[in-house]
Amino acid sequence: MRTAYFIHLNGIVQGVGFRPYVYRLAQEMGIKGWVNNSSHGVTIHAEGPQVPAFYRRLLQEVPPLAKITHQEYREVAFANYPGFEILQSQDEGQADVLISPDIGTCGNCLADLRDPDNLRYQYPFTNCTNCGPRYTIIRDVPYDRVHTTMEAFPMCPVCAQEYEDPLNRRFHAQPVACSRCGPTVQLMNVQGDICSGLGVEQIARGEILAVKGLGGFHLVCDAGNPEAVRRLRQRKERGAKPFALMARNLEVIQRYLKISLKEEELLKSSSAPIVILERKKGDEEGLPYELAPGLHTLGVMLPYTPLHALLFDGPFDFLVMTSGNLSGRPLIYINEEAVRDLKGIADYFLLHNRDIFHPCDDSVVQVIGDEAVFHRRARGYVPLPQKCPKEFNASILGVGGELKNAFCLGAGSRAFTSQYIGDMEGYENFQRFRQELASFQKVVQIVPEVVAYDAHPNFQTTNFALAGPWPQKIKVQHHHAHLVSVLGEHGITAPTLGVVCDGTGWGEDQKIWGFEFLKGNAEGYRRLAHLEYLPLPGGDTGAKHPLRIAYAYGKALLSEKEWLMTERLWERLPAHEQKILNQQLEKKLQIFETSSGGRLFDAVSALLDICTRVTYEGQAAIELESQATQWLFRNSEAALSYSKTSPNVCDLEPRYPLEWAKDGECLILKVKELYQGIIQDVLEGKDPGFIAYHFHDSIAHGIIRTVLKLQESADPLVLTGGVFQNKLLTEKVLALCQAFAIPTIRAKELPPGDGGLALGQVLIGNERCS
Amino acid sequence: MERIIMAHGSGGRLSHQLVEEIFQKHLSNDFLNQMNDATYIPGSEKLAITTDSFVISPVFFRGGDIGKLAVCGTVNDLAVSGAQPRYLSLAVILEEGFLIEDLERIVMSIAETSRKAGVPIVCGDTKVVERGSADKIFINTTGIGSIQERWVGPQYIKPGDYVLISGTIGDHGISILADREGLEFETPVISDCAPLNHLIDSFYMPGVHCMRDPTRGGVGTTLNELARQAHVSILLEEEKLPLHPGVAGACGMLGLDPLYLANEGKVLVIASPEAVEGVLSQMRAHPLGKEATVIGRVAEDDPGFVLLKTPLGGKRIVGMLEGEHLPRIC
Ligand SMILES: [Fe+3]
Ligand SMILES: [Mg+2]
Ligand SMILES: [Zn+2]
Ligand SMILES: [Zn+2]
Repeated sequence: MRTAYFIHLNGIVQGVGFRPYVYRLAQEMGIKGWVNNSSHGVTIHAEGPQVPAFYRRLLQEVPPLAKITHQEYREVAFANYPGFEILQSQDEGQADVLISPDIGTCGNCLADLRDPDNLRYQYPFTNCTNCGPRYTIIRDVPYDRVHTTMEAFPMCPVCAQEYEDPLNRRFHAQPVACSRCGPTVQLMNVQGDICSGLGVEQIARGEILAVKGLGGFHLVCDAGNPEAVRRLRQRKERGAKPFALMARNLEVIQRYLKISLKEEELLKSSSAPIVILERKKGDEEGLPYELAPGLHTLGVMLPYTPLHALLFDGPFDFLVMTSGNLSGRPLIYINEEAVRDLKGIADYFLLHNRDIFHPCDDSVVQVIGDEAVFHRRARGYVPLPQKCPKEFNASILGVGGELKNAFCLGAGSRAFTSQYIGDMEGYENFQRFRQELASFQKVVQIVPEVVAYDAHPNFQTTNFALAGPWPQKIKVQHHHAHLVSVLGEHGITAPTLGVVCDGTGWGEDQKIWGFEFLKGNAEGYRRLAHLEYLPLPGGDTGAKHPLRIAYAYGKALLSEKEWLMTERLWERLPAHEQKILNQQLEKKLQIFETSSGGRLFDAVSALLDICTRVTYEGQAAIELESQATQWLFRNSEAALSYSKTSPNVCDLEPRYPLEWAKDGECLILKVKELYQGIIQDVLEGKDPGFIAYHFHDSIAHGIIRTVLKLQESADPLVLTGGVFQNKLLTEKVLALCQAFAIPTIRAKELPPGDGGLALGQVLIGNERCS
Repeated sequence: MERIIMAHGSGGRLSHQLVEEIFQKHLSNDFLNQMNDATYIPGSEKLAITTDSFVISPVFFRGGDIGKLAVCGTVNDLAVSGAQPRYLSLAVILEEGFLIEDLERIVMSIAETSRKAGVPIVCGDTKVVERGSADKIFINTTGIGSIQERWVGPQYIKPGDYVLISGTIGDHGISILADREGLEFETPVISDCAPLNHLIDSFYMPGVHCMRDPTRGGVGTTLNELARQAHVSILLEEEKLPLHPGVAGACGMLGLDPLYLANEGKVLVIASPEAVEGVLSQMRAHPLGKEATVIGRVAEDDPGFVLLKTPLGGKRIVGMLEGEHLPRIC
């Protein structure tokens, strides 16, 4: 049969061994023709009677990291090719192929690393088509070596031969290299003297290393050495913020931390994120307290580059691997900058000469309700797109929020969210934002015509959007964007009810919104319910002094008589502060009315004396959750009565019930009784963990009861906003939803916090642009 | 008669009495004494003119009152423009019921400040409005200054120039806030309200490229305006910002940023590297500039941005604020 077919596949088909896969399959099935790789994906000319079977298997047996999002199959003229060959990729106009995120080192490459007979024995940069750097080294598309920072390293004959051999694991692996031709490492002390080795001995001695990795620098020390950990914390001026760890392997993690199957899968995945895990009960001595003061969890990852794997050639199972940056500044990714900026922190520098083009922090996930929830999305996931429910009318940029910023570019049917960038008030972060925005546009081939930005008048991103060249600028309410982001991820376009439990966002009534029940879609929304407005004294200064919030909320919620009973609680607040707070509240001076969810958690945390001084974002709420969870672990019968399987769960009355009032059509969640109840328990000397636990439980009940009042149909309920990074609260809400047969949807591939905001902005912008 | 009544503004006997017994009594000088519809003033120089209206609550505050403020505000606007303040006009709008005793205090304060600044009040006007139509007292002053050589203005700002401030920032803002709201901070703060023309005379020299009095909106807003007008960026150093401990304490409590608080007796100077030492030592030699200091530098890259280098080494964007310091922590 003289038939010939043209096949076009697109998606993630570059840098994942796709062409050798096609080649091998064609060889095996006797197919003639060619395969080509272009900026539009993979094109195949296939001849021979076996073509239909070939096509079927082609789709079924794709390499593990490939992802096909577009396929085309049509008959073409027969050309009678003598064999099957791989053609060089050609560049033709606009690229459409997806760039792969970076991929953690594969098992084969790890084996090569440990095999004394292998060419790549102990070579810190070995990789293959199944693993290695991708996004972080790409300067331009299509993904070819000349478009990456590997351009600086001409291949030696051996690497070149492997690169050319369609049957080799390194066929067209763009970053392929060996010790003779590829990047090299260099260990240096603070004086600038070159030292031998990778710094393993130094780590073992308790010293601190700045290590250049895949997406940037880490500060590294032996996590089992409390003295080293303390020194690092002190030098980094880090307050109480937890350090991320890297573990030798899964077994050592299992020794100290609880791992579910889902968590294990995440740890071992090619994205290799930091996974937040719970410490094993009674094993608090195993890993120093200083790693994560006040918390029962630790963030852990597995070595994801050969260099990281080689660092474990010492007498330690866990390394601290915290981002190599200065407080409030972006991740450092350039050798010179690391040496300049980290010399007061690191004792040694482990540098290498493979340039990083897109700096990328480690991603952080936590399994909440059996799903991975992103705290931070960056390395290993960016630049994977979200498929959007509708075609975009224009190319749109969503500039994101202010803290934990990530931006998003949407066009066609896809939206690409950038890696986590950070707090935009920091100028260096803002520079990083602009730098990445420029280079991300190249990678995803989208030049925006419309910009969507948050309604907050003082966000840097708002100023940036308003000052920019885009002809159309669309202002988006913060919590509307949170809701629509999740709808977008799930392909939902119908108006849907969502609980957005969040920190702060600018509201349409000029107040600070936060804990909102919105029903809507990209076209618009209605505010159906919200937490009552409470006085936030001093704005962000208050957020750093949660006891002041607790005080102000108490003053607002309690009657004068009730207030008198609470005097004992405020002994920790200096008298002059109390005096000023009283005056502030009386005169409404620098008092912001807010329905924030986050600030309520902060206030309770301070009431319980768990956290009264915040040194990192979210600390008060995170420590409150941790205390509540630890109490739950100690009191398993309570856990049992609240477990998902309990049939009574819906009838249980929470310890601190919420109440409702009406403001026009809008329901107001009143917390007087809750606040009073908590204060009562504190005054009676109840265990703070007990109170913290019942606070979470009561908020979960409050959410569900509010939803039951609002829900008109069996539509799914959206749960999003930064507070849904709280595992205890989220799992309680999920359990209650299940008990009431309310289907829920949450953020999947983006964070529920402000890291996912930009997708919502882009989708809303798309509805409003002309 | 203790209080202002409508008849004080009618042009009749009471009006004359008020002018004579309060205004003339304290402000008397050859120009004002002409008592014509317009005052003749000598001079053939190039002139600068500015006007400002003052409405402030409370009228009396720690370190000053609305009268002193009205003289200083206009004198300072002329002085920072490189002009010698020469003459002031004074227009007063009084609310029916305002205490005459208070009016006299204010006029005495105007007289004293005008004497200190060496700038006479040369013409004036008084009106009375019904109770509720004004808040106690409103004052407008117009100032005329003369110019010999003019070399200051945003267009003269160059990358590499230094940014200086004549003393602590935010004193006026916090002092007014405390007085108005009856707040008691641990360390009381007094308004810095003062005429700056003599101070400015003392250091004004070629190499002084631009001057501003960072009143409403404070140093942060003023520098943002300059950065945009001059198409430069400005890098401040947080550790160098002179702060009265009372201002620092109040800001820490209230969540205010001293960079956005008003000053009424401070001058921001942008000077060339050659001039900076001279300007600084002259400033410090003057009683109003004892705490003068360099707070930052002008740079080229990223025009329009004002940045603040923090003690940790990072830089914070000092933006143009819309409204208050709104919470942004999510
Ligand atoms: Fe948010
Ligand atoms: Mg003025
Ligand atoms: Zn590999
Ligand atoms: Zn090689």
